[in-house]
Amino acid sequence: MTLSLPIYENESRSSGATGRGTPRPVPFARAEHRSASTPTCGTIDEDDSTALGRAIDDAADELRNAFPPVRRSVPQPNRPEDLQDIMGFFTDTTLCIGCKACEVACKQWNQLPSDGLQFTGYSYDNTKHVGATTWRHVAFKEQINRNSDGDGTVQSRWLMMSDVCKHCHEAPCQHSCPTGAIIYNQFGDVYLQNDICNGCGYCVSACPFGVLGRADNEHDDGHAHKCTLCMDRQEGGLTPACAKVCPTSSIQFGPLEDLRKKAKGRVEELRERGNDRAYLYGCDDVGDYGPLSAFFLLEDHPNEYNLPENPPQPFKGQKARYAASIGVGALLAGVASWLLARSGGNRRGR
Amino acid sequence: MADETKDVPYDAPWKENLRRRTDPNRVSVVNKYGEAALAAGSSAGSSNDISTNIPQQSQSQNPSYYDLSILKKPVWKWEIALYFYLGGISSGAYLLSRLADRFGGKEHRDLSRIASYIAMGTLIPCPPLLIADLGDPKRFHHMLRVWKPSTPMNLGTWSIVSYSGMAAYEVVRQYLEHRDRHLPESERSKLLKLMNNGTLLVLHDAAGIPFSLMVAGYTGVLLSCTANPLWCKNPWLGPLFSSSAIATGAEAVSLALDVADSSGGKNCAAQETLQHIDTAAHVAELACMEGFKRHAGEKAKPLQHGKMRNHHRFATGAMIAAEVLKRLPVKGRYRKPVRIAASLLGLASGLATRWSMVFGGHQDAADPHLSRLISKSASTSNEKSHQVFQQNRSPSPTAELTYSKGEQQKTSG
Repeated sequence: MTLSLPIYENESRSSGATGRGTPRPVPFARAEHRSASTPTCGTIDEDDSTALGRAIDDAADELRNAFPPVRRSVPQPNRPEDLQDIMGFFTDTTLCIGCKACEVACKQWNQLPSDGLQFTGYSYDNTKHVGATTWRHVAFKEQINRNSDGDGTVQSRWLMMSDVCKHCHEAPCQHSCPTGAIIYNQFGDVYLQNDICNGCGYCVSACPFGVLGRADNEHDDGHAHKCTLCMDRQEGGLTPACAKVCPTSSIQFGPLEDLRKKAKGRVEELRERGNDRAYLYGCDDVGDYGPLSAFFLLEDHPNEYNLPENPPQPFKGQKARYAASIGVGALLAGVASWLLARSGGNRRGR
Repeated sequence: MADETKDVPYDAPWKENLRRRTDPNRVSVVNKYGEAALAAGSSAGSSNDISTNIPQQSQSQNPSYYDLSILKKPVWKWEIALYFYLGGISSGAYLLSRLADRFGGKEHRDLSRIASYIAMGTLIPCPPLLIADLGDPKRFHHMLRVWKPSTPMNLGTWSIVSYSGMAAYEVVRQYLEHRDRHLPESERSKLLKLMNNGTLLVLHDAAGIPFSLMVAGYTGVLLSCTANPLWCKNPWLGPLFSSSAIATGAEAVSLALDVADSSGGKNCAAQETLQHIDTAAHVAELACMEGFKRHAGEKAKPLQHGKMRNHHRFATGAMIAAEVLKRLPVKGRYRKPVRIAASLLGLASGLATRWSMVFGGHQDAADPHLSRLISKSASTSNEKSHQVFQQNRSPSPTAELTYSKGEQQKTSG
């Protein structure tokens, strides 16, 4: 069952959003499960539909991708003066109505597979997590408080938040990736290159927000997947799908500096109106963690939204841990050589 | 403030509405809060009165989202646990082989040779295990497309590739030397002469010994560079795996010597030395395990109460039992079986250590409380940190706007 929003069709046709003139490959599908109409690399002839031809082309692709191409220009990291060009999300949870349009739009644009039909019983949230197949996830938190006056009245409220990859400025997933598949793209966002990823699963454990997941089902490609901040749409000058469909502008997209100004203004506005709980999560630093490109306006403790309060930066102090591990190994090697020399070397008169 | 919100391009009709007509629910809650705060002043005993008016915050000291874990479970399974174990044995045995060859003299020639065979034999299953664990095994070589020493997995892959070359060199050299041991110097194979070249051997050791230490210990550092509560930033994991690698390496060599030497008693000195090395490594391993548990604190719960508690108990128990067995005053023909039993126990203990560490991580990531605990600030306890957090955002009407760190710095400076 596929729904189609005509707005995407029009946009992608009129402005050439894909930018490369190739049809978008179906993600999450192994090469052998791809249909002939979705070529892998844009190199297959349209009329070549034989199984052998496809197999040969797949093998040629593997070979071609085995080693990196000769680089003419080395990509440079962002200079400080370019930092205002980082694009990001500001998710204002006070405006979220929990319609899940972002979840649907994200799934549709990025062609993400279904999560299955399960009923969790957790409020209206049946997705539970951001993951490999869910890049936007709407958290519903129902808070019920019985009145302390004892008159039996019940005060309840909803916390709703559209969760997403945080696109950290010091992303542990990017740090951990052993293949270089996770990079910072030209928009300053953390981007996972699916044609490089080999599914080692390090990023899944490294992410302190639990964002990344590996597609491990039977016909899945076994790669890690996460929000791309709609890099393909951004390349075509379009707003990411989730921000585009958000009916209440709870999800806002734009240059990070602008978003930060807006967000701070929004908090002040809320406070003027008497909502003193509003605060920003990830606008600057989250505890010891760096700022986030996708940050949030929250009204309660971050754990209420399943966000970590002070996410750890696992790669801090890595060198000291190497030194400790190799030091202990070297110490034991020293002891071993002393023992070996004592019992064996002496007899040869060394 | 007002200017910034005016030029927001996402203006919609609902927004004007919202401005004029404030949310009655929220305002009433906040007003109640404000009144209570005003009435209570700043006295410490009044915190209960205040918090009863805050939805949810009073009811749970540990806020959570339906008690779901924040983190994802690691995708590493038995392949990785087994690889950690076999890679450890291999690097430990290689290290012993080289050290015995360099410092041990003729007495330990057998030890050196057998150790090099063990190193190669346990190394061979490692690449298939690592590749089988990948989500896309056809792309295993993608780790070798880049040189990225900042991530332990890339550095480790390069280390194990280089190390496997060293191990292959050593095993070929040892084999040729053993084969040609009765021949006069002139009739030995040319390859052996080349490989026995002093300079080449020094170079070999200068590269091979650091690489083997790296292979022994990087796995622990790799685990410590994750957000998993059990492993996250634990400085004892690397040393634990290093010492366990050398211990299991010594045990495997000892076992192989016993098995290969049917007559018995030929390698007495070598066996004695291996037992001492094993003991030293076990002492280091126990110390690291204790340090690990102290550093992890509550986060080591799966090792003590979870599904991995039996593995963990077995790991420690078998290690101590092996030490006790080795020290039993058994002489004569019973000596060898006791030694073999001790080696087997030690090897099993090493496997249980890796197993409990890897699968304990699964337990930890699935535990919602621990997944929240890892993101509390390290200095403060769980509840205290929450209170501090609440105080920082306490919505007292007189307080200045302090909603983010950066803003505080801006306003103060």
